[in-house]
Amino acid sequence: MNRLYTSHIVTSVIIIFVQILLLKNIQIELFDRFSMSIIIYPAVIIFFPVSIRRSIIIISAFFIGLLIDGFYDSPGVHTAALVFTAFLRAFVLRILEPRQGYRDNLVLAPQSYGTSWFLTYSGILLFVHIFTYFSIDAFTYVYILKIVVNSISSFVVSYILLILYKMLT
Amino acid sequence: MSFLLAILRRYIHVALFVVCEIIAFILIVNFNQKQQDIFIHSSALFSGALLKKSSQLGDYLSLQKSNDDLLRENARLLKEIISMPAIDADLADIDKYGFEVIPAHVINNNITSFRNHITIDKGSKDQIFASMGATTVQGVVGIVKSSNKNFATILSLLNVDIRVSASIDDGDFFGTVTWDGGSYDHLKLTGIPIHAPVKPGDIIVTNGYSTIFPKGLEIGRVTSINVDKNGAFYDILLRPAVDFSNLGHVYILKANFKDEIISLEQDE
Repeated sequence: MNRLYTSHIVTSVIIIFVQILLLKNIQIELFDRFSMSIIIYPAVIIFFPVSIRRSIIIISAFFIGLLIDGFYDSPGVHTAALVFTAFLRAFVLRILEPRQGYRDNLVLAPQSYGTSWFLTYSGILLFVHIFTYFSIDAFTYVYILKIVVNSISSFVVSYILLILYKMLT
Repeated sequence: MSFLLAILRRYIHVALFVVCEIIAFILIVNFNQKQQDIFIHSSALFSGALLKKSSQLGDYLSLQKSNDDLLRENARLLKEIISMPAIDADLADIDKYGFEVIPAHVINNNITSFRNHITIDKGSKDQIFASMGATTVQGVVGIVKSSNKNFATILSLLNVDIRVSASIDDGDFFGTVTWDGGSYDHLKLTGIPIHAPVKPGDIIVTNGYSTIFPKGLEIGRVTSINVDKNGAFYDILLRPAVDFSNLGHVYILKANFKDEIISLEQDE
């Protein structure tokens, strides 16, 4: 059990560092109007072990979000999106619950509950996060087309990166 | 009791979620310029149409009073035309340094917070942009903060962020009018030296040192005069000329050749 938490904390720190030092600087313009960014730090919240209490996840999301915002210079924007993702995590877990239920001591990885389960689960939460982030960033649905295009393009790249990372570890 | 505790345990994460989101949104709205602007203009973006409808109803109810105001204004303008000497030759000059006047209806107005804004039903489509003055027949209302296509937001004189440079009528002494967030019956005038002749009842007007307001628009009347703690300047309280709780329409002042004046000032 303990080993599970320590390994999650270590990978989380690495993911956050990669996000704020490396991926933050990658922003690709599409057709002059849209921009694509790579957002993988929600993995920290998405892959929290199932047995951890929901309130702890929400509080962690809040502080991780503040940290990310500190580097993105956008106080509250990432925080609001990440807290929302953390809140939705419980519902997604409940909807996707495998027949035999969740086992306490397993990491959320492709090997644990099957590849398709893993792809659906991380895909839903990552998209929710990215879409929420771009919505809050725009702060109005007047630019809905921009929000949708930005979200989808960013989601595709971030998702591929996330899966590659999880497959390799 | 244990029942209540059980409920609390069960829903504590929902409460946490709500609290964290509220904190996040307070951060967003306070520290991100873009989101802050959108938040403040939400009245224009989302409820503009609704507010316009309700203000149309209000307009209808106060039609009699508006008529009286318009009549009075017409009379005053007529008087000015009559008393004006024949200056055909200089008319071009007047136009050059003068202001264009754009009338607009107030569709949302607030006097209860520290930062009060007024929303009007005209925007960039009618050539209304940021930092234009807003006035009524009675006196200065505020300064346009920003505008979108159909609506604009005015920083009211009752906003702790506003600074309007002003002088005593017919005098050379000038100071700054601010608002301390207290009563909406009192504006503050600072920067008038104590050797300046001021007495209660004096009219405070704009001094025309900026391109926002022309010279001589009334801001308010002096109600009380105190010497500030350094002893060099007066702390003067004004009663605003405009009744902010009852604003029907405002006139936006668009300075001609404003860009030229500003670029000249920046060159120096």
